[in-house]
Amino acid sequence: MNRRPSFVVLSRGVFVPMAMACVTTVCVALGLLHEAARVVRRAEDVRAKVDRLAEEIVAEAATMEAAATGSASSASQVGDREVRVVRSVGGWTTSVASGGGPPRWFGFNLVPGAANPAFGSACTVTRPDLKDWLREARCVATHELPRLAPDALAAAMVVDRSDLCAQDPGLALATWSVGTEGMDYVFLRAAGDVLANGGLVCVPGHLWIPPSAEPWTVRLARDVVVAVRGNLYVGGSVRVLGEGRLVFYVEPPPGSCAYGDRNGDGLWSAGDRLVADGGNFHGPLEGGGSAFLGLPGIHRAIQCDAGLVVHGELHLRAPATVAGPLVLGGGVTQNSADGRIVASGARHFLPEREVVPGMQVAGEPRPGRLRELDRNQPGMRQQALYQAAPSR
Amino acid sequence: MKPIATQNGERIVAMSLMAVVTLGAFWVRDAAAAAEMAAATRERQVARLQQVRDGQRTSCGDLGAFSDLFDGQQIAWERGSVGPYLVLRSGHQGGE
Repeated sequence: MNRRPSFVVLSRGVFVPMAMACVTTVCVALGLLHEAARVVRRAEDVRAKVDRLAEEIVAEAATMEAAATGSASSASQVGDREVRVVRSVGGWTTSVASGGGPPRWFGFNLVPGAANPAFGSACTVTRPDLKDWLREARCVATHELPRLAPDALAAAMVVDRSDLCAQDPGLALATWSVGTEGMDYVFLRAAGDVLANGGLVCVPGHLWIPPSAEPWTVRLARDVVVAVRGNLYVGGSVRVLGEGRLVFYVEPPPGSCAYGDRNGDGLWSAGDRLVADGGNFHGPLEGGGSAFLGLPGIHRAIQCDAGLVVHGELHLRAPATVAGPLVLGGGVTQNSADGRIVASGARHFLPEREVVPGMQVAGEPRPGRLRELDRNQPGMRQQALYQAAPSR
Repeated sequence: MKPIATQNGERIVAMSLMAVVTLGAFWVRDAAAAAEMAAATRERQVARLQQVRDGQRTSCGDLGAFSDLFDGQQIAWERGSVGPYLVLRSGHQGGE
């Protein structure tokens, strides 16, 4: 019997069914194996994420309990996880070992208390009528607004003694008919290097962000609060790069008052409305403690990565988006039909676990945000939250 | 092209093999899709819970919805003197 071998795929240009079936089976089996492996890998990835999250939750809870009880060290078992907390000089170090594996190390800096809850919200207002403008806003009493800590203010870097800002009355004269009566400051080119160190900076007058097509950009490794004891005039966008966050804190200096500049001339005039009820206008004609998003003659949307704490009036002359916390102690005056604002809250704080430089805190000292330490370098367990800034 | 394997037995074996492989492929595809969906759901839950911890969400509804994540351990808020934090507990306890 002269029969052709079946396991020949092509034999003189023709297919053999059995061979084709085998080849197809192998191909499909390989495909199935690949798919199964992919699904298993994905499930493993998710499982690892869940485990990491659980370890972080367990570490945080154990540290909070140790902080509340004031114990110098503690050990506990949560499920199959062994948790150890040790109090150190600047905070707490916590290890979590799961199933006999190597422990993960976490560090918690000591923070002196909770920051104002307004720093954790996209928008906080004191006037209920502002919810027409900012629907997601929290409404609080005036005494609940964030305030500077007096000791921090006394120790703050003042721009008169730094290379952060320079006086520049030209911008005010170019914007308002008679300029301003107070000191006008603009950031210097090297301001980014100064601000990168973080902390509280005090501007003893009006601060101007000049109009520009390009955003004023600063790279921050640490959080910065710029306290403006005057008005804040924002002519262009503000871009913040890096992990740090920027907050402009605007309040009226002694001897001046905030008002809503309804006719948009930059000066106190008939029809303007004081922010504080029952007082008389006094001080410089431009007032103090107010913020102006958009300037006359500039038709450009403003993207502000910084937060704004405004104890006076917020004036809107351009469509603006504020990514940091927006806190309004006064009202909102719309100086043009385009003037509107969106508080995205994208760069907010975690008030229970983070301090906002220079701002008052409340409650007991506590662990700050959890950060993971490099388990292979025990010396790193005491590392600072941020890398040291380069010397200037 | 014309088939040259004409014996019926060989055809039956080939067709059976193909049928089994096809059924297996459908089964694995369905199982993979179900596993993928479960993984995606868990991943979304992890992301939501992480957002709650990071303060990006002030509320995530009932924390009991996350109990599946942690092998029966219940997650709940604890509010101590040093602020609120999440805890994992064995058994069934409510959350916010």
